[in-house]
Amino acid sequence: MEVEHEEHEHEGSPWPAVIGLTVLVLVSGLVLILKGISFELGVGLVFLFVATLAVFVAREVRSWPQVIASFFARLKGTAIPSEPEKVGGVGMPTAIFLFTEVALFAAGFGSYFLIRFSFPVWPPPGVPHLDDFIPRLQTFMLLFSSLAIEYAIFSVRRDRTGAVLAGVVATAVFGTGFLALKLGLEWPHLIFDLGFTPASGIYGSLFYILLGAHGAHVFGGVIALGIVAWRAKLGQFSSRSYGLLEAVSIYWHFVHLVWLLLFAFIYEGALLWTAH
Amino acid sequence: MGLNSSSFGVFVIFAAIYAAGTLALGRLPIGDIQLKPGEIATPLAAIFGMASVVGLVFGQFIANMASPLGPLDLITPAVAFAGLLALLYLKRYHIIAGVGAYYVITSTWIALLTSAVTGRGDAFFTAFASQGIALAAGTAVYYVIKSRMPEQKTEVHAAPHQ
Repeated sequence: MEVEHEEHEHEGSPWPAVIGLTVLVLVSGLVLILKGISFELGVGLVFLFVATLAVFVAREVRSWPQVIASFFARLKGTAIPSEPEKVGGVGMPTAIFLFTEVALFAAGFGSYFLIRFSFPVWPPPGVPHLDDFIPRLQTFMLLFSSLAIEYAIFSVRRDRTGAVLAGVVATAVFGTGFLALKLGLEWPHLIFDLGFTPASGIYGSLFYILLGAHGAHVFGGVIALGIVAWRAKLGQFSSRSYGLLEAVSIYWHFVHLVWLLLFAFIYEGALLWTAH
Repeated sequence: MGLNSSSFGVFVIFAAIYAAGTLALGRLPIGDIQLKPGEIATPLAAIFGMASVVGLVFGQFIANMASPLGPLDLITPAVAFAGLLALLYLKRYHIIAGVGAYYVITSTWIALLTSAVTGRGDAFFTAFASQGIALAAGTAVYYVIKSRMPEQKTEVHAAPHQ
């Protein structure tokens, strides 16, 4: 109970918003410095970020052991949370988190199109042909994974705990398969057989940044699914309490949606007619 | 349609079915007719409601960005959206009426577009035939799924005359 009490003290904390805003200040400062607009102002903004971060760490660091203990208490089944797990949508924190993810990938796609439209021919000459067989398999793996996590949601609403675990594990397996195909087959072939690396020019850089960022999100999703599966095994989800499962489900669907766009743009030549 | 797993999940899954069905599977050739596998999912919008409609339109937008018909094919999702709204409205009378409205609206547009872009004389025949085959298959899938679905509340109100 003490652990839960400590955790609840952090609900409604302004610090995530403060840190988020100061990251904006940090980026503004870096832009001012790197673009040579105002070195002094840029350094001042970077210092403001560092100072805010230092205050945050100094204030909050003492409570981190309790927060970490609470997390592991849930995994051990010794603390069953109630408040943060309420059913009925994922709430504002997940919505804000998703918004930051949308902003991240919007920036990535924005860079891609900005660079792409500056080239008369796309992909630039010298780029090897990207075979789309593995990406097609990956597309269907993510489609099946989305169906599996929806099956888990469908089951948890009916208190079918075994089916919940099966759905979550199946989703994680499809996600792991997605990563295995990318890191075990596709990328080694591109790097070692075709010599297509991030240093192969701007197209190679964009390719690996965009797909690498997406792959990192899939990896994060698999880790989250592992935690959800473990807690499902402990029977911590029910039709009245499955907020974490729903939040991870929405995150996973989002990762799937981003892949559809990457697949269309990178592998299937979407909007290539704009270059002609 | 709030931010919950079901509505967002249905949106993404239908977008994926359409986009993956069209891009990853490719168009299935039946003689001169090019069948779009993603269209088979269309009648299922009558079961899964507005989230699936938005998903299908978004999936079609993704798929059409790589269309051989070029930028004009990006108008097609808007036409499909109108057809899907007609499907949702008319399915309360009968699913065939809804699918029929979607069939007429989208086939006419695709025929006009194909004819204008490629100049093919058989554009109307191929467009109506390919949409007809895909939607007939989709309607069969609709009946199979509907007969196996458990009773549950969805965003779409129950059809009074089915």
